[in-house]
Amino acid sequence: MSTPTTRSFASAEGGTPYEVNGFVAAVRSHLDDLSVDEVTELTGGLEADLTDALAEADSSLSQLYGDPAEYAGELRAAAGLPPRGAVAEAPREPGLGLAARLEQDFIVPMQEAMQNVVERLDLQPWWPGVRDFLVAIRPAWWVLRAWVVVEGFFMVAGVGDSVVRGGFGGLVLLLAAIVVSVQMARQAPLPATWMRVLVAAWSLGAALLLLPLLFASTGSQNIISDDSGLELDSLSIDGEAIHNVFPYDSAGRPLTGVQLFDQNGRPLEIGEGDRGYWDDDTGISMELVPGSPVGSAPRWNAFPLQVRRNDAVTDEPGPVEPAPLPLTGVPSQSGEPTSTSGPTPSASSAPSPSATATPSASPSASTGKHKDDAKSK
Amino acid sequence: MDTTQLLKGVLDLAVLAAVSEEDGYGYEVLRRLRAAGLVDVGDASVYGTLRRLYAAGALTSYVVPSDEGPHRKYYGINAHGRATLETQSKTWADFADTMNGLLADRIAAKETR
Repeated sequence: MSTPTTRSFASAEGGTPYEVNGFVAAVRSHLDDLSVDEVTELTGGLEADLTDALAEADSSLSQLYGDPAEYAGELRAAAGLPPRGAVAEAPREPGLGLAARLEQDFIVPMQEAMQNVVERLDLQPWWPGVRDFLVAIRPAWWVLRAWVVVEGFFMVAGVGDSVVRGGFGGLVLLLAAIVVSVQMARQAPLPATWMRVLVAAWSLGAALLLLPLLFASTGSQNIISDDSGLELDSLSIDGEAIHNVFPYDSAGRPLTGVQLFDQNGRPLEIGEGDRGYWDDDTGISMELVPGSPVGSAPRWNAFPLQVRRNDAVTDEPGPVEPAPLPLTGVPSQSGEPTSTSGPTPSASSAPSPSATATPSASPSASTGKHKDDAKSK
Repeated sequence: MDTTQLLKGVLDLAVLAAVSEEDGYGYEVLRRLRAAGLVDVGDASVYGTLRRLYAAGALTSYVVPSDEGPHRKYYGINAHGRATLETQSKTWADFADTMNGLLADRIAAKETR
């Protein structure tokens, strides 16, 4: 083996002349229709061979070998592989499945690009350590990509929008995905084309979605509490907005002008978005009208609020009137139902007494307390 | 006469013979063939042939890292390769005998004319 004497060529870190690296890269680019394995097999050690040839010759590689395309053609012909084009065209025959076409068009080029990157990295002195580290944390990636696919599913399906909130089912799904993910990684290379395509798409998608999903799922805690905060702006029971409150005294008689406050002395006001509702029975839209003593702001916390019926057709506002009572009678403290002496409830807004507990149960129970609060204030 | 056409038919045999005594990497095998007189043999043809013989299971292959340059890919013959070498050597010898005989007859006939 002769060493270059007068010739001195610019050399890359691995001792390969740049000229050789460039030529080999060009040759590989003319083989890019072949599989990664075939290209690796065909060009493995080629740098060393060309480096030696260059060292012994008195000319440049292009003078020695001419066009890299011709060189690549000679290489593949001698290796018994079909010329370029014959391979590339064949897979596009209609008989070829979608999976095989996807692999040919997207996954193989992607793997080749990665292969090229790794080959460059192989020349770096710091790379082996990094590579070993990356190989060591690969199982973590298998678990992560399983999490991404399940988390993504929950987000798209809108079910609890997180694996954690998906409950037991979410946990089972996550475990199943982890098993599939790890097994697919351990079985590599996978036998079926569609499996390889699936795993490649999965990995790529997971890599792209990992960060957004991480942000979304950690940030969702705040969003949720914001949501419930918004809902607290108005009064609600079982998730349904409260439009009006009907207080009754201990004898079961309806009260008017009862002001309600919470434990901090804040008025329990009907939310701005709830100051009107659609009466399902009559089809009439009801507008709520607060009591507004002269010189003070409208009291949205003084119940029951009065109503104004708007004409169903013209939507013209009608006269202000007392709100129809939802219940015909409320038990007195002694338990005996008392007939109401208030305004006659319209048939439409009078469901069976026990049907809704809304006015009688919680609001009236808390009325006394809040009345006390209001007094003590 | 264009020897590159002739070479194509016997390149497998030539390459097998070149690694039958001692393992070698691509350029080394090329030099052995050229040293033996096959000066027209192309680099890429030899390397491609080595890859193909390896893929066919006639050669073994291993990588030897080099301190001052890129790693070298060595090829060595195995039992299957040796059997192939024996068969093809015999085929070649018979073929060469036939050709020599044909040409000798022709030369003899020319001389007697």
